[in-house]
Amino acid sequence: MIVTNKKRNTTLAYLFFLPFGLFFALFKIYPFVRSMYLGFFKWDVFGTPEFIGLENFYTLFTTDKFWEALWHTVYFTILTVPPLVIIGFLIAVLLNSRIKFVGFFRAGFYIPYILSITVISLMWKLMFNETFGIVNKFLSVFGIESINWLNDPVFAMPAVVFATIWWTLGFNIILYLSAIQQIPYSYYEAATLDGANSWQKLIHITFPLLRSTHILVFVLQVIYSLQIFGQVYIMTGGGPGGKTRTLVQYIYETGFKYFKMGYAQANAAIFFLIMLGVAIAQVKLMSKRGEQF
Amino acid sequence: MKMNKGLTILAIVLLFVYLFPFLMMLISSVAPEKDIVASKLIPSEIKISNYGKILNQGKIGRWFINSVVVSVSATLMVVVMSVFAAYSMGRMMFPGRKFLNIVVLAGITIPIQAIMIPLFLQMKDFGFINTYWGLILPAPFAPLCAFILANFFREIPNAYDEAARIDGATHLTIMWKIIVPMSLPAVASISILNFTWTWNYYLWPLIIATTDTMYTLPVGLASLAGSETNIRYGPIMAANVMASIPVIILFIIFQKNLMQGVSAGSGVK
Repeated sequence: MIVTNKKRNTTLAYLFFLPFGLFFALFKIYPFVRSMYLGFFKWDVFGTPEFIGLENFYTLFTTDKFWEALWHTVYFTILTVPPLVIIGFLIAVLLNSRIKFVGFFRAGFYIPYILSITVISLMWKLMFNETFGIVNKFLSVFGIESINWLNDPVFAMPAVVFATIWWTLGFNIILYLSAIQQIPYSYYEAATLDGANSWQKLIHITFPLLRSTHILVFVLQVIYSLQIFGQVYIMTGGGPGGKTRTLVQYIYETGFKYFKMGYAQANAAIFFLIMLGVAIAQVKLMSKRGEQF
Repeated sequence: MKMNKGLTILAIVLLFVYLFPFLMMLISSVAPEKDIVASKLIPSEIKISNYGKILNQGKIGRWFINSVVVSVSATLMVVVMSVFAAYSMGRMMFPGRKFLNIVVLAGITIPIQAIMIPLFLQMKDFGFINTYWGLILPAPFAPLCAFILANFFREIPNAYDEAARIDGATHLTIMWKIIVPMSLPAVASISILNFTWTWNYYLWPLIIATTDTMYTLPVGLASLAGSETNIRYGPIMAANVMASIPVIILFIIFQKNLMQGVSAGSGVK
């Protein structure tokens, strides 16, 4: 009796999982499996795939465009991650420090993040406009000459970085804030009794106790930054002269503009390995746990 | 607890500066083009005509409908699938449960960029390129939604279903009469998250929608702004505002759920 019951229970559990599992297998697992060998083929969509071994990878590694795209992606990540983590943390601390209307501020700082990538890109394209953008107008107050932000090989990437920081900062603030709010208030009371000031509490209580949150926010940010595509594609189109083209854009263009599917997938495989490396680093870092929030 | 006035003022100033670009978008959307070109912060007159102009241009109406169809149906699909999957992963004991959990977790970490080429080829085999099916079915955010919900279901005490089971309730009854009603905030939160993500999604629609009749708003707006050599920013900002209204309304109503969902989905509770 119990055995049949258990059996029925198992069948039912799988049945409940089935709709999701089917979609998951079809649109995530299957393409993932295919993604692992597609890179070894030459395939222009219309013809039949032809096995060419490592040739795609060889071409990739000897193509300057690939290395440039890789560097732009890394450069974007280096420029975005530290400010997004540090400013996110500082604003979360500010919002948690006995100020009024915390809920209002939390929502306010989150607003940019709910806007779409297109909306924020077009918005910042206007702000960074050389002749009438508000950024140059603001800088002119300090006597700085107009910069053609999005068409300048040096300034284009920092401009996209700035827009991205503005767009996604709210996400990190929320993560930090919900972690900070879990630190027991008694810790701070005890510190106050010992005569600690706000700065000391921040450095000796809040900051170290958030160790796992720091790692989480940092790693998530690295992962998101490495995926950079839309903002650049809309704001600069990868220009000027390919100076802002990123890895995902290179995959997109080789795959969907030139239809070199195998070559694009070889590139995507490199991209995946990089992401996998970051994920493994996260697991390693997170596994060393103490009492933290 | 004494409130700190100085810090409150600092927060107000920071928030104002922070939201200034957002304000600029709203202002520019009703400003005459000559004021935008003169970088005037306060427009000389309020012109609603920017909105009319952009509605006549391109296929904004069509893109709006596409976005609604895609976001609403993808969200319905994801929520129903996630409830069933989360109930099985979070509240049922069966061999292979751990394995399924790990697979879903691994699925969350596979980025769409790494599999978009084979996914596109698969859609081509199915004949789904440039169709609603192609836009809706891959449901890239489903694993994360199921994962968030399963975690939430797991925390509901077992006593509830045990009592119901003694009364002879089936799993289906327990799911819909006990677990789901008790988890409404979490269900709301994954619904809003999935809707917002889908509404704003750029990369996949860019790949799968090959003619402008199948564009969603993000892809359509970007193409519209990109196709003009001399962008008229007033109408473009008006389009931006229109594209943002649905998510802003949802955000205002459900902001608590949304933020809880964000924290839960990232592993901070």
